[in-house]
Amino acid sequence: MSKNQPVKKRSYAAMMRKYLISAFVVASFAVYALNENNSNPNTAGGVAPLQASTQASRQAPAATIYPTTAPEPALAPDATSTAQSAPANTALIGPVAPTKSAAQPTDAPQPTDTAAPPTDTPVPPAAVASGYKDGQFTGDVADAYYGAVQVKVAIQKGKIVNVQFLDYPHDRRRSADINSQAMPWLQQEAVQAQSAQVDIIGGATLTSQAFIESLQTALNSAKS
Amino acid sequence: MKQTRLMMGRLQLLEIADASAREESIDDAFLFLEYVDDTFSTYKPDSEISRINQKRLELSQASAPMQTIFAMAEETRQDTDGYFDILHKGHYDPSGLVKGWAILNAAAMLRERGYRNFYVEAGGDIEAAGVNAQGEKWRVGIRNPFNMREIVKVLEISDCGVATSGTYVRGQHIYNPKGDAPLQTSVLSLTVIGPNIYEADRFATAAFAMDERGVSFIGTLEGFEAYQIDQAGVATFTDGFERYVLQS
Repeated sequence: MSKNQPVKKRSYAAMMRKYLISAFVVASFAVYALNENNSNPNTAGGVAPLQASTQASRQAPAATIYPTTAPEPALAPDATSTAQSAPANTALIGPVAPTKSAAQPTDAPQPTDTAAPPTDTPVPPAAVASGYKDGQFTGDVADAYYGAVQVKVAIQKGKIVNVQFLDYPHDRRRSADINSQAMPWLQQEAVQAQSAQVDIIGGATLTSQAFIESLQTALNSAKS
Repeated sequence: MKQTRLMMGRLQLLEIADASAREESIDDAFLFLEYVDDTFSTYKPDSEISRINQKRLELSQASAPMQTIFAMAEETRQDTDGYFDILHKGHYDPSGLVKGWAILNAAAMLRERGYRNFYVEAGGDIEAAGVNAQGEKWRVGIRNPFNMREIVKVLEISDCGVATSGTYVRGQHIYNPKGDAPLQTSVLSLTVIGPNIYEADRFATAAFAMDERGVSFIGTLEGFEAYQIDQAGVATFTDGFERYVLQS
């Protein structure tokens, strides 16, 4: 034990030196980082997205980061430029946040764009609500194995304002059998249809093929 | 001002209640959602995610948003004890959080332009900000998984997100008379209210994978509430859920 004493004292001195050096390194880095933050990120030229990302995530404390660049010029309506420029305007959240320099990708060549010619092929959106006549249009009755589906579409100023179901299958609800074994912090009830007016409807999504078919025929008649 | 779009068979609705609402702002938000669909749709053979799955594109060469999504997916996998996983049979499908992320960022675009009262809804998931045109909280109906024309619950929300996992499609699977496999789940739909739609969406996806234990899992999370509907027509919900329910 006693033999170790002097060694320990020397190590204290060494530690102090280490602390001073570390402090100097940290301070220098802080000054460098501040300087980098203040300088225009564009001067970095071909900064790799990930490096830039870490810089942005330091700048942004919140979960949601939305680049301040004006989206209008970048988000051009044609599919090609949208696909390429959208990352710029992509509002990003999460651990790897995008960056201000990534927000102007048109200035710097992006490896992804060149490595991936398929993006250059414009992909038409499934159905964009434009070029439709105003009015109400009813789609064909489409068969789903669980029943028939038919929708009515309302168009105002060339845009879809409402989609209604005219026919939808049956009610499969069974008599509710309330389970008394619920966990203490949970409650239970039988589901019941409500009639209140709502602004928005959420929940189970409308992805059935029959729904799409009926809607498509309604939109087709809105076009012709 | 309100608009509806159809994208990949899913409806997307956006309404701005602020008097200053401009059509271009709504168009921009929809363009962003369209970009997300073009990039992350596993149904589009040339989308960026499809090119990654086809090994035509390395993740390290992918766009910054793609890398962000992968990082967030990994974070969520860890947050949910592995119940959330975008890797299925060697293919990546990040749709379990991309939608919430897209909606949240479309909402961020609107906030950026100074709007305070609006909602963005895509495929049944919602981010609601401020109040509606009548100055009241936004009223959200939860669709009945047994009958799409009905709603079974009416919520009043403001500045939060509501996501539902489990769909009518899933219901079809459960009721498919041709299927001879035993039922794997009794849960038809799980609706989660969270601090924002990104959080609500990713935890709804994970909790749905936990089957009946999903609603309890949400109950353990601070700031989240859940409403789960099973195939017997019974709803199980967390203790604080009723705070959001419209009192008639």
